[in-house]
Amino acid sequence: MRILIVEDDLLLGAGLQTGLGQDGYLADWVHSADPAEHALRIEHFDVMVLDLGLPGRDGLALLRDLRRQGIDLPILILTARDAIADKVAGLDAGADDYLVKPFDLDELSARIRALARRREGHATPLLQAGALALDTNRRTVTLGEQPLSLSPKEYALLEKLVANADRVVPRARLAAATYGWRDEIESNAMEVHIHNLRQKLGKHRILTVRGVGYRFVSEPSP
Amino acid sequence: MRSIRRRLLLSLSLVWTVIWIAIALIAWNRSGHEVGELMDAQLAQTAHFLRQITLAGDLPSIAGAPQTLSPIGHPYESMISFQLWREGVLIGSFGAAPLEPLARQSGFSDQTLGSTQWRVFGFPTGRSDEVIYVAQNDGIRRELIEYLTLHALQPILWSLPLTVFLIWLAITDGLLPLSRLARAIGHRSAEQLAPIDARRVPGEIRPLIHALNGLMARLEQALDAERHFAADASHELRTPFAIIRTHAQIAQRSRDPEERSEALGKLIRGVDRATHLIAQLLILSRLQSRAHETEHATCSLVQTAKQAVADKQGTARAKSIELACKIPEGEPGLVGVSPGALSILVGNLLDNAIKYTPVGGRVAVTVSVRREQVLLRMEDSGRGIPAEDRTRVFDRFYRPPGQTEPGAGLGLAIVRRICELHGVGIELLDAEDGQGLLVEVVFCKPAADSVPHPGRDRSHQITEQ
Repeated sequence: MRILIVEDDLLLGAGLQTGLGQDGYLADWVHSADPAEHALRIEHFDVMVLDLGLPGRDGLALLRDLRRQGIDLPILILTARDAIADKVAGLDAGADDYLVKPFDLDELSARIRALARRREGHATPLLQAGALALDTNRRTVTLGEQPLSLSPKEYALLEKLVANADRVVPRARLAAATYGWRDEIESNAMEVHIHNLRQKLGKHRILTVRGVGYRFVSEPSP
Repeated sequence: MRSIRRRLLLSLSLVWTVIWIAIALIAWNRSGHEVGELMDAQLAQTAHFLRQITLAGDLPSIAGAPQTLSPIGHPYESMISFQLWREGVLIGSFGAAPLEPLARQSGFSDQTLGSTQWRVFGFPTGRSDEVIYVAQNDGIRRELIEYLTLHALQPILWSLPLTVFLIWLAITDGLLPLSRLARAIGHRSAEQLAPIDARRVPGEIRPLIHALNGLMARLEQALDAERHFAADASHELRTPFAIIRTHAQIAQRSRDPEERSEALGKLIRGVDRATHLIAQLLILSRLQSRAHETEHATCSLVQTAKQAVADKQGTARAKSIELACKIPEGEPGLVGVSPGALSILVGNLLDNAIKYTPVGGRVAVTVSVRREQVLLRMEDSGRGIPAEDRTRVFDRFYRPPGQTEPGAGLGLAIVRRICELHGVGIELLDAEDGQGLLVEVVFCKPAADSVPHPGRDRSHQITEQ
């Protein structure tokens, strides 16, 4: 899952990026409203964590602008403004959740997961595709009764594929969900991860759609 | 005397008593005079009557009459006596008259014979050496005067307690608006600072109400500032605490020693930031409550500026900033600001100048002493502050857009507060070479009577650092 952090405070932004990274998310971080808007235009993010007290354009103004442009990704406001009126204004401006500083990293992660889940149309944290089950909270995968051991990148790829099971997921979207700005992407890195996943899951579960991307097959024909 | 009621009651009663005594004295005097006149006339009339009798030759029969009182007379009769003297011999007398002559002169006179006071009228009959003395015991006069005066004034005297009571009632009624006001104010809570309605109170209390309302308005303002301050402070502390908590949690969860030590390093920076913020807030709140300590304060701007430049030399060097200073020698440049406040003011301005000047830039501190004023100019080669932001940067916690340097936004708020307290002028201008910010601070020289002894200033300087 890929998260965009908009936070002007250098120490806090770094902390958010590292902390969410520890939870296995790809977190990218911008310091103000304009780069955030730009990043959303060119890349895919699953959730945005937004500070309100930004230099220049305020977080609330950015939120309104994004919603006006039809950008509908889940947005969590993370701010020092704790008044009820501020919360109401934030949620009414189009935010999906509101968390007041100081906060707990685990709680922030859980709220981000919940937002992402709803976004994908799931109410439970469990993704099921035939005998394959993903627990998106614990980031564990089981095939039948057998737990599978995946690297973080492999898990991120698989989660994106299973969430869109039986549909073609474009390569670019998979890459966006898997690699942050800090990652160096080697040209064949995705193929390597897909190859590893096929080895662990069985060859016919992930199909290559040439020139487009990949498709996860929920019920493979025997 | 703290009670208006008691004070009014006492003074009114006193006035009333004095007036009563004055009336009594006047009445005494008047009735004494009138009674005297009346009785003198009576004496004269009696004398005339006796003379007629004497000339008719009938006096001996009167003189021989029994001297007892007749039952159909009057108790005061015995107080009237007379004598008839002819050629030094007492021919006849009546009443309680002694055997010696009642007087030696004719006309009215007051005589003391034995223990008795007499009012005597001597009247020559016209025959040779024959005098009639008619006398009246003076006691009867006094008795009559006392009687007349006291009986006339007694009812008024008896009414004294009633009068005092009525005065008390009137005062209580008069003080009613005051006690009503006291109740209304007494029932207010500390938050109820709405003005008191001055329309329905008596004119005498209205100035008090206006003064009270003025005070409450000022109080409301101060409370409001306090509330805002607390809200701002708690808001501003949330971010450093979020930093501390986040990095503490990262360190707790991390198994990578490098990641953990990096998180701990950032945690410490977060703690430093919170500490700095709290220190700044404390300075501001102390300045808020110490307005009265600014009188007669004085300090050398030259010394303070030198000290500040020396203190920040290291910070400037670390950013390769040239820290130039033009400070006059041999002149203290005394200003009317307390030493602690002055070093905070200069320090904060210099901090800002260095902080917002890019690496390799230049900061110049200039002090110039004029006839009436001392001038501090601090010029940097940073980005400057746009004209529209130059007022707002003095607001608490305000940070202009695009600010990348860390800071709480309190430094200039503290500077402004110090300026307000000490009557110091401050202005943000464009630097003279067009780029950067020029801060110009205009100090008034301290009043002549508050110039300290030489040396005192320096000792302050050291302890305040």
